[in-house]
Amino acid sequence: MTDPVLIVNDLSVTYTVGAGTFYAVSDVSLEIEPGRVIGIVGETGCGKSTLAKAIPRLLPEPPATIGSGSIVFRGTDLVKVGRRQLPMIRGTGIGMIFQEPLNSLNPAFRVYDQLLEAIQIRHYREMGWVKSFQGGERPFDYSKPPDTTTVAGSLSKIIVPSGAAEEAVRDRLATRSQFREEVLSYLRLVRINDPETILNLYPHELSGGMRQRIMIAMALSEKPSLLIADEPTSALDVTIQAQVLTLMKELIDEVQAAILFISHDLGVIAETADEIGVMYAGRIVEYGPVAEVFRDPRHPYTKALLKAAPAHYKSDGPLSSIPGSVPNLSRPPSGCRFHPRCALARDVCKGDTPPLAPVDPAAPPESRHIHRSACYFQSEVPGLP
Amino acid sequence: MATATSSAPVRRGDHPIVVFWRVLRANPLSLFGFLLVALICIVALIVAVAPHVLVPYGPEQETGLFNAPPSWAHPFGTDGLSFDVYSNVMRALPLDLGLGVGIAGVSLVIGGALGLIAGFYDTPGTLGGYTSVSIMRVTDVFLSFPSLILALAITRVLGPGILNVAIAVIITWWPYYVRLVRGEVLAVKHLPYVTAARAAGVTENRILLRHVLRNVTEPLVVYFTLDIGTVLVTYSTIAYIGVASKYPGPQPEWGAMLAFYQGSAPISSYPWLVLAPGLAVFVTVIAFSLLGDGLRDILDPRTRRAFVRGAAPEPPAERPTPDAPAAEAESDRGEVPVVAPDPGAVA
Repeated sequence: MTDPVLIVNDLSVTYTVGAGTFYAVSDVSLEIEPGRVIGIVGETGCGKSTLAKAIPRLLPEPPATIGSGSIVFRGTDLVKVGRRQLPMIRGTGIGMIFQEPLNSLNPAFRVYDQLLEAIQIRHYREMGWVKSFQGGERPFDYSKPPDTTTVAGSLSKIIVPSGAAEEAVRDRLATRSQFREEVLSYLRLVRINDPETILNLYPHELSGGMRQRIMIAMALSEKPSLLIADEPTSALDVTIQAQVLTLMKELIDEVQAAILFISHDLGVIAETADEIGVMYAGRIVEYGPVAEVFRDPRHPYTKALLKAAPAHYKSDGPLSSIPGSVPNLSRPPSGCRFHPRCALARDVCKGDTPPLAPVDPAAPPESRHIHRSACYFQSEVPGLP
Repeated sequence: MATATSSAPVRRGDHPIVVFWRVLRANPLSLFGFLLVALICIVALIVAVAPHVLVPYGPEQETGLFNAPPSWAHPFGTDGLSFDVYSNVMRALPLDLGLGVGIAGVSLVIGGALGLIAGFYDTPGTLGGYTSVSIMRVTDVFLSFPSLILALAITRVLGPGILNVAIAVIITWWPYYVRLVRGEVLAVKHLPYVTAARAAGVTENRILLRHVLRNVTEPLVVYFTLDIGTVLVTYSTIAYIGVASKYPGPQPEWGAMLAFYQGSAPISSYPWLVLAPGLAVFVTVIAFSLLGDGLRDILDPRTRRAFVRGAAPEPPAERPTPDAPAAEAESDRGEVPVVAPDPGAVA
């Protein structure tokens, strides 16, 4: 298997609001390889959006604090990256698709300008006009080691070309029409008909599905090696949701990026992801290949969650729900955070936090891609009603 | 103008001026304000460059008629010193207009810049956070005084003179812009598109200047336009007290004229003397106020686009109407098979 693009180790994120501290994400570990899709599922307020925004360091700090852990993206620990270097990482490696397509496009700019900005950022980094991030063990792929770090330096080389390197720089100097062609190509990539017309429209003139396509095009135009989709379909109605999902699934094969797919919708995750992580109250309580987790859930919460998913062909009786309520993350329950609502809870669950242990006892415990559950009594879960 | 408003099919992407005109035409009051402002500006320019075209008499030129009522030769009559009131009112126009635009403009630039900084870099505990707090506290100090009284006090310190009064008004005026811009920036900077730009790798300074500034411009320009009138009234009030410039003198000014006329002759006997400069202030202020209201529509791409013919393809492809649901419009364009996700199938 290829090297993981992203390794998240024991990541903890807290919010400090007034005197209170909210433990939004606790000890989350993940690994994503290129071309893989990892789905994170959980109910509202379980920390999945915080996780999504913490990886590219998009959380406002303060109030958010990355307390411990590491986020190693292509050899660079993003937790240690300075504030000033963050834009360089975000623009050239990690693409984001957000939840609200209605507000995620700047209302004052036309579609063309929105996409152009993203493409220009990448292009100027490739040109070495804008400084690229060079920290970590190795530089990013597209940021060729810039021999000229200033605009003036690059320009002087273009004006007086001599030698193969300068020729290459001149060849890559895109004109307006080249930028326009590139913008159009990304619009076609996200299956937009008549992109020439769409270019000149403002976001408010587009439907929700169209806007989300533009968002996806924006994220892809930076050629990311990691794409984080934070509930990309939640704000759309079901048919549009299906179209966007189909598009994303097709694009997964085309762009070969690793994808972290965040959703509260089990069906969406089942459709898209290779592996699934179930989050509850800031922790990953169960993890594993999608089919296995759905077929044989080994955490009481996962089991209850699957049971609560409405199925359209069963219309008898009320919908199932989980007793109790989501814990207040400023004072999370001790031990296993699910124990106040769990049918299997015993004294040990109140005292200690169960580790993510492999379901199959014979499996190597260090592997991160096998089915694991954070429950002391995971063997009893299949017996639950 | 006539060709622009004709109903002939317009090619895609009308010229901004054409759109501007259409928006104005849909709001008669704004159109009136705009035409009035345009007229005032043109007249002011002519008076400044070639006064003899519109102004028959010099600022202190005697006509030989004392306190004459309005007539064709003297539209606003003459005063007790036999000066032509109309000529003096007109000669004051470039100065008063320049003061209104200039004072509001300098306040806009100073206050706007400080407001952007205070609103955007307000993370507590950082250098920006301390800067932000400092700016806002200084602003509060200025706002705690009534601006007219403060301006008068500053004029007292600086000494009389047109420029000194202008400086005094600016000193009391910029804090309002700080407040306005900071509030708008705070509202905009947490919107998802700012986060999206950040995620795309746009640097903070560029986000501020390109994404945030563009989206606070709209209320700012509207406020600025309305403010020109307010500044003019404030300046005239200070000038009325007589600290700005002397009337009669080589450079007339409306506030000073008002002050002189209401003291020189009984208003009941010679009402036109006070009426002329007063009307000039009134017309200028109302023109900018009406224009300001209409500007909001012109600056907002949402309303503006409604006046562009042929730019957007017609529904149903672009704007799903109630009878053509969004899903249909989408599938026209998307060409993606509709596959509903089925949670139950896997569970």
